[in-house]
Amino acid sequence: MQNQQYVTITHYKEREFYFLNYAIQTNDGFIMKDIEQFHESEKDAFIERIRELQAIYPKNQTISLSLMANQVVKDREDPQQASARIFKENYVVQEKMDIGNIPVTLYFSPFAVLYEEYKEKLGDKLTLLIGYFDRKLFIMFATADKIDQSWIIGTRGLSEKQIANRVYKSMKAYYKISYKFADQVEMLVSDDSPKLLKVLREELSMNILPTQKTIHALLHYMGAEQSRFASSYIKSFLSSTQQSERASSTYTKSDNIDASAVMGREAVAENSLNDIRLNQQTETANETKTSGSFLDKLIGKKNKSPDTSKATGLFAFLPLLFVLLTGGYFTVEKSYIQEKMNLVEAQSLAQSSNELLSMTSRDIFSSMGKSAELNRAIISNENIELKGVVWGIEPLRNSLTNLYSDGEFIIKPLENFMTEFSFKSKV
Amino acid sequence: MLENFKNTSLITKILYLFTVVLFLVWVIPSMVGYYSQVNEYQTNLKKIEQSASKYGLENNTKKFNMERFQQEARLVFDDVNVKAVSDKKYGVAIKMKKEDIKKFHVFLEKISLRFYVQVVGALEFNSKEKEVEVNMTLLTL
Repeated sequence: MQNQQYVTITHYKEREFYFLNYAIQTNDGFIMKDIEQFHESEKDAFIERIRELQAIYPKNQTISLSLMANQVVKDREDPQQASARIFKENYVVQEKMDIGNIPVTLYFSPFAVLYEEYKEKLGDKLTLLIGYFDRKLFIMFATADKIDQSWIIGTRGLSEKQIANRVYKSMKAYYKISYKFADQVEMLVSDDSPKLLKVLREELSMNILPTQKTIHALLHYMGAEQSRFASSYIKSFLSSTQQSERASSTYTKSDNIDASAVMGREAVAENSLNDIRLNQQTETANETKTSGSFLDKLIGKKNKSPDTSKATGLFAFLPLLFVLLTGGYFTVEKSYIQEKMNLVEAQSLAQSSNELLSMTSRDIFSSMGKSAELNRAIISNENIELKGVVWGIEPLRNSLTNLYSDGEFIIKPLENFMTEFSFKSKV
Repeated sequence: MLENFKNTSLITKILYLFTVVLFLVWVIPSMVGYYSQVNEYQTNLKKIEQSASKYGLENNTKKFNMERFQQEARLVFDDVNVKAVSDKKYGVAIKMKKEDIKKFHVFLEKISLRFYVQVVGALEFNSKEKEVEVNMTLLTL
C-alpha cells in the first residue's frame, strides 16, 4: 500500500556535509520532520536515503538549492547555461547544474527563494533584498517589475560586524552606479545566528527586520505548490537525451505519482521545451546582446566568486613558492660552499703547519754544520729530540741554544773516543 | 592595495604573513651567510694560490691517493713506501742520501699543495752511514 501523501524532500550541501529533510504537505502548510546530516564521505548512504524516501512517498518533489557563487541575474536567458526565470524580465543564470548524481526534481536559486519570500512587499519603490545562505550574501535591488542590480558577496571568515559592513558597502556601491538608495531593506537569514541579526540591526541605520528561516523550510515552501515553482526552478539546457537520462535517474515510478504532481511535472517539462524553443529562436540575436549583469561590470572585483578566491589563494602561494625556492637554493649553496671552505681552510692550515715543520727541520740540520752528525731525530712543531755524534761540542751547543735557548744539551763520551750528544727542547 | 589585502581571506593573510616571516628568519640569514662564506672562501683560496705560485705550482690540489702519491714521490726519491695506518692516516717512509735532505724539505713544503693532506705528529729521521730514512704520518683532509 503506497503512501498517498504529497511530500517535499529537501537537501543541500554546506561545506562537507549534506543536509536532508522531508515534510508532509497539507492544506494548512507543511509538517517538517527531523533534519538528517551526512558527511560527504557518506554520499552513497545519503543518495540511498533520498531514494528510500522517494519510494515511501511516491508523490514527492525532491528539491535542492544552488549555493554556487557564479550565479548571475540577467535580462535574458542563456541557451548555453542553466537558468530560471524570476520576475518578468529577469533570469538567474549559472554555468551548469552542479548536482552530480544526487536525485533532484526542483533546483532553486537563492534569488528565486528571495523573490518568492518578499514579492508581496515589492512595489514601485526600490527595495534591497538580501539573502544570507551558506555564508554568502545574495543581494538584489528590486522593484515589483524587475531586478535593477544583483550580486553575491562572500563572507567566509568575517565577523558579524564585518558582514554588516559588507551589506552597508553594497548599498554604497549601488548608490555610486545608480545614484539611488534603497527605500527599504529586507533580509532573509538561513543560518541560526541571533548575534548576526542583532549586529545587523545595530550597525545598519535603516529599519531592517531580518527574517530567519532554515533552507529546508524555504525549500518546502517553494515546492508546496506547482504555481509557485513552475517557472522559477533552474532548468538545464542540456540535450534532450541527457535530460531524459537525468529525469529517469531522479524521478521515482511515475505510476505512483498523484495527478497534481504529474500535472506539475508535465507543466515543468512543457516549460522546459518552451524555454528551449524560445532560446533557439533568439539565440543568435542574443549572443551579441547578452552580457553579464550590471553589477558584474560595476564591481567585478568586489563580487568574489569561488574561482576568484581560488585564484587569490593560489596567487598567495606564489610569493611563498618564491621564498621557499630562494631559501632552499641559498641553504643548499651555503652548505656546499661551507664544505669547500672547510677543505680550503684545512689545506691552508696544513700548508702553514708543513712549512713550519720544514723550517724547523731545515734549521736543525743546518745547525749540525761540520761539528756533528745526527743519528736519530724526532722533529715536530711541538718539540724536538736529537741524538748524534759530535766533534765540536761548543759550536754545536751554541748553535742549538741559539735556536732553542731552553733546550737540554747532554754529552756522553763513547768507548771509541767519540762523543755522543743528545738534545731535547720544546719548539 | 591595502583595501584589497583587507578583503582577502584569513588563510591568504596567514599565508602572506608566513611568507614574510620565512623570508626574514630563513631566506635573508641564508643569503647573508652564503655571501659571507663566499668571501671567506675566496680569501682562503687566494692564500693557497699565492703559496702555490711561490713554489711554481698551479693550484690543482688532488684528493690523496696512495698510488699516485707514491708515483709522484718516486720522481724525487728512489725509495718511497706508503701504507695505510687507519681510515684517513697513511704512514710514509722515504729513504734518501744525506745530501738530498734539502729536497725533502722542499717536498714537505709542497706536499699540501699537491694533495689534500697534512703531516701530523713528528718527522722521525734515522741515519745509517750515507742514508737517511724519514718516517712521517699523513692525514687526508
